[in-house]
Amino acid sequence: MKIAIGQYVPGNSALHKADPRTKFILTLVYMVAVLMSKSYVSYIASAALLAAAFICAHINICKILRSLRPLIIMMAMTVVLNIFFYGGTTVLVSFWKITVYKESVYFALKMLLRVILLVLASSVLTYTTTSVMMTDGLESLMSPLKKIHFPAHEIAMIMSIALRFIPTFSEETERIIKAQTARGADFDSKNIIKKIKSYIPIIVPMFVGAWRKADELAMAMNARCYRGGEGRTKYRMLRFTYIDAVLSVITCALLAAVVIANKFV
Amino acid sequence: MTALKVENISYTYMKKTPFEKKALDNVSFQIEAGTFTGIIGHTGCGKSTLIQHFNGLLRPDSGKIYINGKLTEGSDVKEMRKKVGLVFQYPEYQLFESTVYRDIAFGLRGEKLTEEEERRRVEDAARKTGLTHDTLDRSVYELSGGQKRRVAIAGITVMNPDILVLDEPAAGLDPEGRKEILKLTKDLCDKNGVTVILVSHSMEDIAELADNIIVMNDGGVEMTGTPREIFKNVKRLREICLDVPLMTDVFSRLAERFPEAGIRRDILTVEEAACEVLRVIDKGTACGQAAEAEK
Repeated sequence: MKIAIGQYVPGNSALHKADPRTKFILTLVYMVAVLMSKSYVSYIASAALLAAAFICAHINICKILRSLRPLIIMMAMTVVLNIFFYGGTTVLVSFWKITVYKESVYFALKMLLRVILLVLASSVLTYTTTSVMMTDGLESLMSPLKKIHFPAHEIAMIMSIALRFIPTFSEETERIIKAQTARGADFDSKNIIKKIKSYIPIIVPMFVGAWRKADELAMAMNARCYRGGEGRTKYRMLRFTYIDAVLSVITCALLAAVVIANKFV
Repeated sequence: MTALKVENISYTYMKKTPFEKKALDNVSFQIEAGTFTGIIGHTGCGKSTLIQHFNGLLRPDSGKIYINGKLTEGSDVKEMRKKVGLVFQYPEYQLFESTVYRDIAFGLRGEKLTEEEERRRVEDAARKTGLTHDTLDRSVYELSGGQKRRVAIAGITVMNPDILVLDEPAAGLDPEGRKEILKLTKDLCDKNGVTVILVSHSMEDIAELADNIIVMNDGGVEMTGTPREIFKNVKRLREICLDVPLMTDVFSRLAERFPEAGIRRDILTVEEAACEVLRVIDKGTACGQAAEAEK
């Protein structure tokens, strides 16, 4: 089975059960730890923790690594640029006008590791959290901002509606493409102008459909007396449990270890 | 002549993934030119998958499809699409042009016709689908649901397909619109000689319109035959979550309740039912005479 970055993978692990707010904040803490890491020891510790998280969530690490494939170009650029431009003192190889230093190779490797860890860390969050939980968590985290009239609830609602309709729209797009193909539409034209034009029969019905759906949804929400977030209770209550405490302790320990390592190693 | 022949086709969705689903399993049947065929089957039995094979939107994993006696290959899907017109469910959602005329003409773009020829074809399609001349210049979005659907069907018939496949053309319309759309499909078959294939959930509609019925179940063909043959198998049809027309049900029950009355069990439509009632009451009088006597 292919797993795409950002996809939710159903499961029943401690990580799946943890509060989305905890996961969100801890992901940030973890990212800070990775960004602060200087020595290999710190990187290895961070990577080990991430691996533990994947194992705990029952997600196959090999498949996850494969899902990084779309980022290969970006990672290659990181490595190449750092190798050639970081500089250093110990010359490793030198040819023509280019010199590669030992330090720059080390640094490039660290940077590569950093990128991979950051991407994977954020993917742990999306792999174990449904989009609904994510928006609930974000709303709750943003709620203090309501004091300064920041529309936290509305933004969360917009996000969850948008996420909810992604599969609907992709299904509809597929349907319309098929219908127009059946009417003799040709999407394989080589000419770029013709190619763009050939998408009009898909885009127009999609827009019309989106407006219609928006109208219907608004009416349905109205019919259920939706009137914004004020005084609204939730079906899913977010609660911190001992799982959240354990996860927080572990992640904070990593951050502390990284800080200490930076001082002494 | 055989308009469409399907030979042992199989199709699997999302192959080699955990979501793999065999949608069609060794399906074979043939449809004669100029006939009206109904396809029935409960939700998820593979009807929609099957009809998408008729015009090459999907290609079978195995098996062959013949159109007008000619084997179709992957390379001539364009030819297939000209011969087989496919009207999807809720086809009005695919309309996009500024006027009805332009929308109907969309299917002709590839044919490089002169303007008069194009106009003639569009007007012809509009006439066949019961659209009045003044609707042609109106916006698609001003029309009623039933009218929009006619435009969508005209957009397919304008390509003069030999075979017209319609997936639930009457779904979501009011009773009047339903009747008109269904009559339209029947007219296309009877008056214009188009081979019509109609997918429907309504046993009544199918019983009334179809010459032949293909019953699908679980990705395979369960049975084929005339409506009278098919709707005899009440028990089997119910086992596969289908039903028989209401009148068939009523009259087979009546026949069971009053065995001495000699009531026919193979009644399909309300008209037939009315005739049968008159016949039984007025013993011996043939239906035609009864109807005449009524006048």
